[in-house]
Amino acid sequence: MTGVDYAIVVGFLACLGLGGFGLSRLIRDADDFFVAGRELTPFILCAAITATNLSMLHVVGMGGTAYLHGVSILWQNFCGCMALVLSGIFILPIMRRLRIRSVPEFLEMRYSGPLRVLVAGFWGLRLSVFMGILLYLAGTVAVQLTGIDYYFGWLIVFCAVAIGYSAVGGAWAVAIMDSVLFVVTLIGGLILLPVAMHYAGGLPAVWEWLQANPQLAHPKGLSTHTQFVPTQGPFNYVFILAIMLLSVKFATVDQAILQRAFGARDPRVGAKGMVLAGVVTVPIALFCILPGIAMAKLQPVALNPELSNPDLAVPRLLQTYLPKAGTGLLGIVLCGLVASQIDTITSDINSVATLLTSDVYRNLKRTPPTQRQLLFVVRLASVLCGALMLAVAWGLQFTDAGAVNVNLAVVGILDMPLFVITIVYGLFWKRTNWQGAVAGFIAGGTVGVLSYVIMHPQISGYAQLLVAPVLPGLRDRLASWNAQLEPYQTWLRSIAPISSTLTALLVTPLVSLLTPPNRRESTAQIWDAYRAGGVSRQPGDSDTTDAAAEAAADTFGLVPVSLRGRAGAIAALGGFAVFLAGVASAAFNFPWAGAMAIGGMVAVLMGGLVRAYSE
Amino acid sequence: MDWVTLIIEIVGLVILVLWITIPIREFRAIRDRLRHAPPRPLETGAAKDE
Repeated sequence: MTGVDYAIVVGFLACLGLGGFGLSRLIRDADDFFVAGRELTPFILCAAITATNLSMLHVVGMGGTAYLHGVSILWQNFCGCMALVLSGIFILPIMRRLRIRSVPEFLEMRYSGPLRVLVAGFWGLRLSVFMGILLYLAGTVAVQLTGIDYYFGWLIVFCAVAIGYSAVGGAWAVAIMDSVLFVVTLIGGLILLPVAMHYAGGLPAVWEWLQANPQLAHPKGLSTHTQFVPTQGPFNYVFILAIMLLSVKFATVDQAILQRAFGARDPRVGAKGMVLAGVVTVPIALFCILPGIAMAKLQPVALNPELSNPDLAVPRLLQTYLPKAGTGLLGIVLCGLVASQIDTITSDINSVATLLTSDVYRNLKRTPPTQRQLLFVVRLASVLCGALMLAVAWGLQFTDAGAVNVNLAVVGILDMPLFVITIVYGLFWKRTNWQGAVAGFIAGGTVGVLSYVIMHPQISGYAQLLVAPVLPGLRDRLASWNAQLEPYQTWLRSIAPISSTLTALLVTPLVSLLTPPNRRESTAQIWDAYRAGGVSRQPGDSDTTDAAAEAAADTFGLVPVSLRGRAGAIAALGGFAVFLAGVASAAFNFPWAGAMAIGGMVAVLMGGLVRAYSE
Repeated sequence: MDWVTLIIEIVGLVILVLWITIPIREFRAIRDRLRHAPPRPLETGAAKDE
C-alpha cells in the first residue's frame, strides 16, 4: 500500500466516525434509535438492506470460495435475492402492519413473553458471533494488505469506528450512512471487476481456460468452476436447495434485515424496498464473485498452494493487481470493502442493541423504563455486543476453515428452527401454541448441533475428547458414525439445515396437538394483519394517531386486487417453482438445469417488481 | 474490456447514479417532514396484553 492509499482509507474512516456523531441529533426517542422513526422510503430502505446484507464475507469470503470452487457460490446471493422479493411481497407487509420493532416481539404476540426473551437472547448472541466472523475477515485482510502484522490492533480500530457511530447515532445513522456506504461499496466493485478481468484476459477467456484446465483450478482437479448448478462438489444442487431454505429464513426472520424494513413508512414502501434490494443485489453479487473467478486463472491454486485457504485469494488479487492499474485505486477499493464491512456490523450492532433493550430489558424490568433509561441501555448493549464480537474475532484467527464455512455452520444449526416456528407455524397454522414452538425450536437446534457433532471430523474429535472420561462407549460410537459418514462430509453444510428444519417441522405440531390450544388474545391482530389496513394499533402503542392514519392509507393486501398485481405475484411464485425444478433436475444431470434455475430467478425478480409497484 | 464485463459495469453505473440521486431527494423530503412534525408523545413501556 502506498501513502495515497493510506490517506484515502484514514480520511474515509474519520469521515465515517464524525458522520455518526453528526447524526446523533436526529435521535429524539427510542423508536428513532430502533426503527428510524418509521420514516424510510423505498430507495433508502433498499440501500440500507443491501448494505446490511453485503460485507467482506461476500467479496473476500465468497470471492475466495468462487476462486476455489466456481460460480455456483453465486447462489448464496441469488437465493437471498429471490427470498427478499418473496418475503417483501408476501411476509413483510404482515409484519410491518403489526408495528413491531423485532422478530421476538412478534413471538410474544403470537406465543408468549418468555419465548420472546429466549429468542432475543439467542439472536443477540448469534448476531454477535456473525459480526465476530466479519471482524475476523476485516482484520485478516488489513494484515495482509498493509503488512502491519498486528491483528488485534486492527480489530480494535474497526470495532471502535463501528460502535462509535451505531451506539451514538442509532437506526438513523445506520440508515443514512448505509446509503452512503452502499455507494462507496459499489464504486469499489466497479473498479475491482474490470481490473481483475483486464489482467485475466476478459471473462470469455477465463471461462475457456477454466474449462480446459480443471486440474490447475482445483487442488484435487475436481473443478466445477463454470457450472451454475453442479451435480458434484461441496457447492452442488443440494447446497443450493439448502441455501435457498436458509435464504428464506434470512429474508423473513433475520433481525438485521427486517429491522431496516420495519423502519419503512408503510407496508407497501417496505415491500418496494425489499423487492428493490433483491433486484439490485443480483448485479452486485457478480462484482463480488467474478474477481475470484478471474483470480483462478491469474494465480491457479495448483501452482499457489498457499491460496488453498480461500480467504487469502481476493486480498492477494487486490495487493498484486490494483497498484499496477493505478495509484490510489487500492485505497478506493479498500474503502469499499471497509464500507461493506462496517455497514453490516453497525446494522447488526443496532439490531442486537434493539433485541437486548426492547425485548430483554423492557420485559425483565418491572416498572416501565423512561426514554433516558432506554437510550442508556441501548447504548450500553451496543458496547457489550462490540466486546463479544471482538472475542469471537480473536478466537477465529486460530482456525483455517474459511469464513464462509464458519458462517454456514453457525446459520445452519439454529436459524432454521426459528424460521419454522415464526413463519411456517407462526403465520400459517393457528393451532400452534408456545409449548410446540419452544419444543420445535430446541429440538431442531439440537439436531442441527448433532449433525455437526456426528459428521464434522474436527467437531466430532472435540466431542469424543469431551465424552471420553465419562462415557467411553459413546466416544467409540461417535468415532464409528464419523467414519461411516465420511463420504458425505462435503454435504454437511446442506444436511444440517435440512435436518434441523425437518425436526422443527415435525416436533412443533406434535407438541402443539398434545398440549392446550393457544388462547392468546394478541394473536387476533396477527390474523387481521393479513388484509390491507387490518391493524391500526397494538397494545402499549402510544402513537395511535400515526397508526390509524397509516392503516387508513394502507392498500397492500396479501392477495393483490389489480390484474397486474396478480400477474406479478403469479409470475414470482411460478418463477420460484421453475427455479426449484431446475436445481432439482441437476440430480439427473439435466443439461438445462442452470438455465432453468436462472430463468426462474429472473421471473421471481420481475414478478416481484410488478407486484410491489401495482396499485 | 470484454462485452460481459462491460454490460455488468454499465448496469453497476446505472445503479450507482440512481442510488446517489434518489436517496438525496428522499432524505430531503424526510427532513422537511420531520421539521414540521409535532413532538411525539413519550412511550410508556413494552407491549403486554396479558
